[in-house]
Parts: sequence; structure tokens; C-alpha cells
Amino acid sequence: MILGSSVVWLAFSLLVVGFSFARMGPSFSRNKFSYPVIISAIIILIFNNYPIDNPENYLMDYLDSFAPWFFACTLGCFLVLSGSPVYWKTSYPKLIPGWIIILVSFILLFEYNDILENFILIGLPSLFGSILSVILFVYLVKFVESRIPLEDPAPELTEEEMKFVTKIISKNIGVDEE
Amino acid sequence: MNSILLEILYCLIGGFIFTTFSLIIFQFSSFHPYSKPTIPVLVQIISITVCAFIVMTLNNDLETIGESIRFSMVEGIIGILVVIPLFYIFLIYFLLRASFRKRNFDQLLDASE
Repeated sequence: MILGSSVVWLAFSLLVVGFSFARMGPSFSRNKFSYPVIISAIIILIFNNYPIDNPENYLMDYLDSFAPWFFACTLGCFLVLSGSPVYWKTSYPKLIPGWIIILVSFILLFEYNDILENFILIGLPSLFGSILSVILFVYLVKFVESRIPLEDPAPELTEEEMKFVTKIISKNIGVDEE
Repeated sequence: MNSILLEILYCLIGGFIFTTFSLIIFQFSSFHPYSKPTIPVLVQIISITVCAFIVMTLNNDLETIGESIRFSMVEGIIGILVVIPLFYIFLIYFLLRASFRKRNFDQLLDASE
């Protein structure tokens, strides 16, 4: 495998790492390295000037035609979501351009791609393969988790731990500790 | 084998290999003290190898297992990219509903802005 092709796979692996980081931690505080890793992966993918071998070259050609539509449509969706009435106020300066961008992106997509034929011949089998992989993963995790012995019941809180928990709850509900 | 059937089979195996590969990376990059990835990763590596061997047997142009994995991954990624626009069509349905919904005026929410 030549250097250019290796760089393509490095970028794809970094993208997956970035998205995996984005799923780590509680929902209000995700891993802070997620966006830098995703952005570096995209930069590596775009500025990869080394010659690329097949089949990665075929993939990059497809990405070249897919990426403009994808980014335009994602931007349109973002604008529509931020302009939609969350409670009752609508932001028309965001909503109207958002819908125009989505409409134009779909016109471009249907104009230059044979969506239906590709979907049946390429999309559906790949989707089915992906679902099979996820099912296998779920069963593997279930199998491993079922083999872990149950832990003993947790011991009661010590006096110090009780005071600490009381302090946190008091702070959160906004009452005096005493 | 029929070329269309072969293409469908390559895409199916490609989708499987691509997702399995992504899940292996996911398990390593989201590792925490309670995760036990050894058995899942081992089985997933074996399943990728078996699938790559099947593709290598079906396609005479592929000489090594590495080439077979690369070829299948590309087929899988393109297959998933083909599906994405149809997911966006579903998303647009929900965006349409969000854009035109009407909520009653609420004085409390108005005061908070």
C-alpha cells in the first residue's frame, strides 16, 4: 500500500476515533478532544497530496462528488433547526436560507446521482451488512457481560461520606446545610 | 457467479467489515475501567479475516488479505454513503414539522428572554 492510501485510512480511523470520543462521558460533558480529532481527520483527508492507489482512489472520487452535497445539506438542516420555533418565536433569516440550501442540495443530488439504482444495488446490502455487524457486537457484549460474576452489596456509607452527600444535595437544592 | 450478485455480496461483506472495523476502534478509543473488550475484539478480528478470505476467493484480482480488506472497506463505505441521502429525506420530514409547528404564547417564557 502506498503512502497516499495509508494516509486515507489514517484519516478514516481518526474520524472514527473522533466520533467515539464524542460518545464518551455524560451527555452534558463529552470528551473535549472529539472535535479537534474530527477536524484534523477532515484536514488530513482534504490536504492529502500524495498519489493514491486503487481502491482508495475510487473512494476519494466518490467522496469528491458526495462531500459538497453532504456539507450543503448539513448546513441547511442546521440553519432550519436553529431557525425553527423552539417555543413560539421563528427566526426567518435562518429558516428561509436553510430551506433554500436544502432544496438546492437535493436538486444537485438527484441531478448528478442515480440514487435509486445505487440504493438497491449498493446501499441496501451495505446497510444489511452493517446491521449484521452491530447484531454480532451486541451479542458479544451480552455474552461477556453475562460471564462477569455479581459483586457483593456495597457497604453502608461512612459518617464522612454521609456528610459529603448531604452537603452536595443541600447545595443543589439551594437550602442551608444546617 | 452473476456479476450483479457478486457486487451485492461485496457490498454486504464490505458493510460488515467497515462497521466491525469501526466498532473495534470504538472499543479501544472509548476504553474505561469497566469495559471488557478482549473477547469481542478477538471475535471481530476473526470475522473480518474470514470475510476477507471469502472476498479474496470470489475476486481473482485480489492477491493478499490486505488488498481484500481494503477493497471491501471501500465498497462498504460507499454503500453507507449511498444510504445517507435517504436518511436525510426522513430528517427533512421532521424538519418540516418543526418549522411549521405553532405553540401557544407563554408569558413566563417570554419574560425569561
